[in-house]
Amino acid sequence: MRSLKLLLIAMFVFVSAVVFNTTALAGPDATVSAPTLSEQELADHANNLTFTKDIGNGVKAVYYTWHKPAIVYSVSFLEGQTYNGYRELMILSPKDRSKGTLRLSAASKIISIGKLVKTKCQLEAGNFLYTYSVPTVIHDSKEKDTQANDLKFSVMLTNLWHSTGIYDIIRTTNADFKSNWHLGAGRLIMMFVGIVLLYLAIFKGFEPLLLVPIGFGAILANIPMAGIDGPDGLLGMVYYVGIKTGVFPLIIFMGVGAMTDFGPLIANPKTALLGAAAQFGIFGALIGAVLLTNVGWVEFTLKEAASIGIIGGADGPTSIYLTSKLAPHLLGAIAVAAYSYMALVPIIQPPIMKLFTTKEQRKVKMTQLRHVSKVEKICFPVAVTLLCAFLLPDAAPLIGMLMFGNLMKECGVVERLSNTASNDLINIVTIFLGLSVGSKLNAAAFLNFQTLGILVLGLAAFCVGTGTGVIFGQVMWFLSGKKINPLIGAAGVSAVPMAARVVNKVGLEDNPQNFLLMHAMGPNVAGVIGSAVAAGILLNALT
Amino acid sequence: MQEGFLLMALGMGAVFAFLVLLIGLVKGIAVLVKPIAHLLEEPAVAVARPAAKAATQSEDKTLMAAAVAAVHMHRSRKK
Repeated sequence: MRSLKLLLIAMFVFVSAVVFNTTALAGPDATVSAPTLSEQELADHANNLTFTKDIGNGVKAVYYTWHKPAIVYSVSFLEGQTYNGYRELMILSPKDRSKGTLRLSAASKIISIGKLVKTKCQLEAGNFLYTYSVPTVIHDSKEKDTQANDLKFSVMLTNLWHSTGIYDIIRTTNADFKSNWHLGAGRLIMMFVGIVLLYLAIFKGFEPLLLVPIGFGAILANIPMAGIDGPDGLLGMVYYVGIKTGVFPLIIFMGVGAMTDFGPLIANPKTALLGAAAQFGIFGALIGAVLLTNVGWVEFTLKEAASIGIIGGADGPTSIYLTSKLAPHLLGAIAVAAYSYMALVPIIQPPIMKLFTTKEQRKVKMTQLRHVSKVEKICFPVAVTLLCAFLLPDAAPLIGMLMFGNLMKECGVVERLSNTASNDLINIVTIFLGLSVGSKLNAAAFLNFQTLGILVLGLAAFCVGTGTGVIFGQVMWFLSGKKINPLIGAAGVSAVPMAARVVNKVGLEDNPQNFLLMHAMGPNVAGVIGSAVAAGILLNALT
Repeated sequence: MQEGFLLMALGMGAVFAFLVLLIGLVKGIAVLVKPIAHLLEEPAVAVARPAAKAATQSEDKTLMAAAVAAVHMHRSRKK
């Protein structure tokens, strides 16, 4: 019974693959061939990436002219199709230039595509890429198909073999392993990375809400030839709509606002300073990244360094928002590092907290928080938004959405909206955010020393943030006449509410009647505001 | 390197400044709304009960933990 089922599935896969192959991929052979470029033309354009030449009858040919070879990363267009302007055609990685995407500048009909324009092929200067014409009218009417395709079994079988992932991986790995490995074998490694993330999420409980979609997104995006993360693929489109524009992290921030109680911060506002002190982690890691570049171990630009530093903000949406604006190519690694370390807060923080405090200090009991009236809680989000509007409009998207969510929660008259923001909406967006972040986990961007640097610096950022938070806690302990427990400084690194719970736990270890949870929530939520402000400053300074 | 330290000074300065102003703001609000603070209190308790569920839950947990600790102390004193 079981083998029958398997057989049926196999047959279905075969048939669908054959159908796909004969209909979608088997375009007509290139009928328009382009003339080769003259030596003079080649020399003239040796410092440009491409050159477009009019070859008569309204047809133009595009050549690759950069004086060093390039590798074709992906091709996402077909012969005979008409595409709109700005449509992605292919991604090239020319030697001594950054990897780049070729796009149409205006609506064009692709007439023929060069033989070398295939994923993983190497282009030399003078190679013909494609010919196109600019149509004046676009229509979708088609002739009736009168010509019967003569299908041969051998051809079908070859096509089928050529359309398998195994063939693609073998072909890529055989052809120039050194420069192509991340397009072939690298995909397998990244699928394995995706499975490791799934394992951590499911069996070890590491931020499962995010790492399950991210891990599976990594697997989907690395399927050979399917192009799920390409311009026409589901994850590629979702990434474009939600993350490149910065929309998803902001919607999540609104949900976070609708779930956060700022009461402890309003009751004891001076603990907000602890939330500020812990942001040293962000800038400490930034300087660490610059230092690594100066030493020459790993190369990071200042924008990349800032995106790495924001891991120390311990705030997923903020990290994704800033990275998508400053260094989108590092998004996968930074998101994975940020969420993994947030899950590891209960392991990372306690040793540092104990290192910087004495047993006596950890036993300090704090007086109970005063009652916060509803009117205060309603005024708070509005006032903070206005403060941000006047002082730091760059942080306004993040803080504005956070405060809007919070106002919906506190005002009590739009319960339906606040429920949607903190439940359904945040869940829907989390699914797509996770999947599309996962789709950025490709071998070329992930399997390198930069990722190693990001993981090390991210950890350092958490440690520095916790340390400076606790040290500033010491200052406040001294200034307040030993009334503030320095432990609550560690909660300043956002990671709501995990960090506050850790503070509570460490406090209970030395004094079983010392409940610091509510006191730690103050610096904890202030940390969220603090890291959003830091992100705003970095955005302002570096864009 | 210099740029890094510059960013750090600028960033930390801004974060501290923003949160210091926030403290002033919160204290200001507390003083300003004192005369009208009672306005929403009574109906709020009745209306906002389902919304405040999360908060009460964690309070319940703290209460529970306190109760457990008290019982524990009582028992250990008996010995």
